[in-house]
Amino acid sequence: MEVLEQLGLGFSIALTPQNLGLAFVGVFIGTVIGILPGIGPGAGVALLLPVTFGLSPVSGLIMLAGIYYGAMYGGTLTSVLINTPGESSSVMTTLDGYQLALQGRAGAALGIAAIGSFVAGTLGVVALMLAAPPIADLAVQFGPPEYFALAVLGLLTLSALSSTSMVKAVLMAVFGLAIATVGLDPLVGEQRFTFDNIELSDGIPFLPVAVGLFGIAEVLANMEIPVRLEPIKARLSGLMPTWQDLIATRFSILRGSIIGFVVGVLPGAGATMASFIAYGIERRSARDPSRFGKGAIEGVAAPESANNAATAGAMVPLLTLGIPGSSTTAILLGAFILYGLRPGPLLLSEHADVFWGLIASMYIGNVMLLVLNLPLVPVFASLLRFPYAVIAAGILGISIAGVYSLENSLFDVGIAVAFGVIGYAMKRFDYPAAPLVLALVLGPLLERSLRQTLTISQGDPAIFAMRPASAVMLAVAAVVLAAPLARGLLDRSPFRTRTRKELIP
Amino acid sequence: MTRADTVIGAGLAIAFFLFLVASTGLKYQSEFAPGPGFAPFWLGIVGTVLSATIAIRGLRAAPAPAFERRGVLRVAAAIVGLVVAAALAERLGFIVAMALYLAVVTLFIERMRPITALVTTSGIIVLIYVVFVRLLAVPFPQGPLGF
Repeated sequence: MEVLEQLGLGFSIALTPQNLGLAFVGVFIGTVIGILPGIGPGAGVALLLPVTFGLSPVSGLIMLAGIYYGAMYGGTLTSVLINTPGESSSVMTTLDGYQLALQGRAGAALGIAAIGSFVAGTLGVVALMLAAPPIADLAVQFGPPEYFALAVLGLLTLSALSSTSMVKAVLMAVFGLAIATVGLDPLVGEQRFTFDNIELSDGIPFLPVAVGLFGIAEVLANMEIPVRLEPIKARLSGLMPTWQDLIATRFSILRGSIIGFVVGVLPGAGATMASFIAYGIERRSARDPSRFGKGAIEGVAAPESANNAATAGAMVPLLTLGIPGSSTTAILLGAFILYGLRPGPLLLSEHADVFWGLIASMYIGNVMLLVLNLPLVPVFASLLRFPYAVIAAGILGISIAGVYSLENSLFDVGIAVAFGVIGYAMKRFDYPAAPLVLALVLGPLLERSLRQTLTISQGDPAIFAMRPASAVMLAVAAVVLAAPLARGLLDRSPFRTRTRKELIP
Repeated sequence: MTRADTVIGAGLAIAFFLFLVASTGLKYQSEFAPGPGFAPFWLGIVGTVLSATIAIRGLRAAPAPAFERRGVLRVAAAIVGLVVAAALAERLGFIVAMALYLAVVTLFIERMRPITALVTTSGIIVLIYVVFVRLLAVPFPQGPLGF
């Protein structure tokens, strides 16, 4: 009952004309961002965060969350129409979505994606609403060792999933942690690596780094190899899938929703992994797996449902523990902090209006997305014919103006440009940006909790093993770290090589 | 991994080693707890080891894919332009510096037709002006033109 009362409070906040309008603007811009190449949900949230500064925290967060889950759907359009995923979480949708488009069924693919996203998004929010309060109650009992273990687990999982090379990904996480040490020490207030520069005493600001890595770097990378979009000429009218499509995909959507939410909750896993797992399970459980990759409608429904449910799942660790599980939720955490809020177990009790207002707006946003996406797909599809050069110039202009507006500081602009260049080099040579951003956000928490833990234990690291929750989380983190090493050793073993040679003549 | 990783790994190993050396100037241990130098020290060690690993692995890898010369020149021009625009923002005014930069990007880097470049630049500048100056009242540096 209490949950329903609180949800009622949330709806009373989310249904004000201003917040309704902001939710609409958020999902609309998010959809456009998802469609446009070279700009993902992380970049979208980072670029538009400064625009929300004049708003109350709950209104700003409603808009930013709308951008986040709107972008998840927007990425589908490019997957289906040009065989190019707008986001990494839409990669699996290309496999069957594009094939359906080639068969003249682009409308059905996009329609089922919209319906699946709506169902999964709504179920995901229900699960978030039910799961968050007990997790927050549990998290109140967490101390520094548990927070340290959780942050380590999140960082390592994201590193393991964000690059083909674990060494490169972990190095980027270490790079992010190193940057996070610049400025005042979080416990004793001593200056570190500031070189007597007053601008550095507050540390390297997070948002200019995120804008540089996700916004400017993406534009620079696309300047080197220009983007050419050639959408197939597909009939987009009649977006409603057939009755047979709906029957065929009902369990795919349900399975995708459950998988998406559960995977989204895991630190570091996120929407991309959720869509991969959902697609894999769907293919394995199909009566005729050979249809997959050739235009199976279930191959669109499952990953699209999973990636939308994962956005709600990813909100669980963010809102209840203050631990983001992906680069986009890391940027959302940055937004909370810039608004003067601290996500975590106390958010529910201290800022119930923000928590429940955000949840209620996600219900409303999902309805808006469905209403927007079914009739407006042809309009959104026309954006694919928009010259990328114009988008690139727009991203550069808004990036620089947005970063300046944070602190009215050209120093921040310099940081954004510097990280734009670093991010471009990282993209060019396959170094993932997500672990760096997550590490920069989690760095102070990680260091503070580690040092507090060692203070409590008088320097004895065995404390991490003595506390059950931290022991389990660190053990899982060790498995995540060791898995690629074990796989590498196994690949090189004479037995494995011989077996492969026997199998592959 | 490519051979370019050897250069990148070596560069990062040097940077992390310098970071490690700098961290030794901070207190490793406070009275009852690890001090401000504790985390940087260990990050310096881990960073140096991982960077060196990448540098060594790169030695055995295939050569990096060749750069597309014109593409790299476009990127370099965009970066130099950004730096110049940021440097001129206080003298010329932020909006004017951004307008000049976007004009250079659209005309010379993206090679748009002059009319398209003009429309694109003007559209973006008007958007920035309306959102950031009018709605958010951001005090951008102003130049002789009052922008």
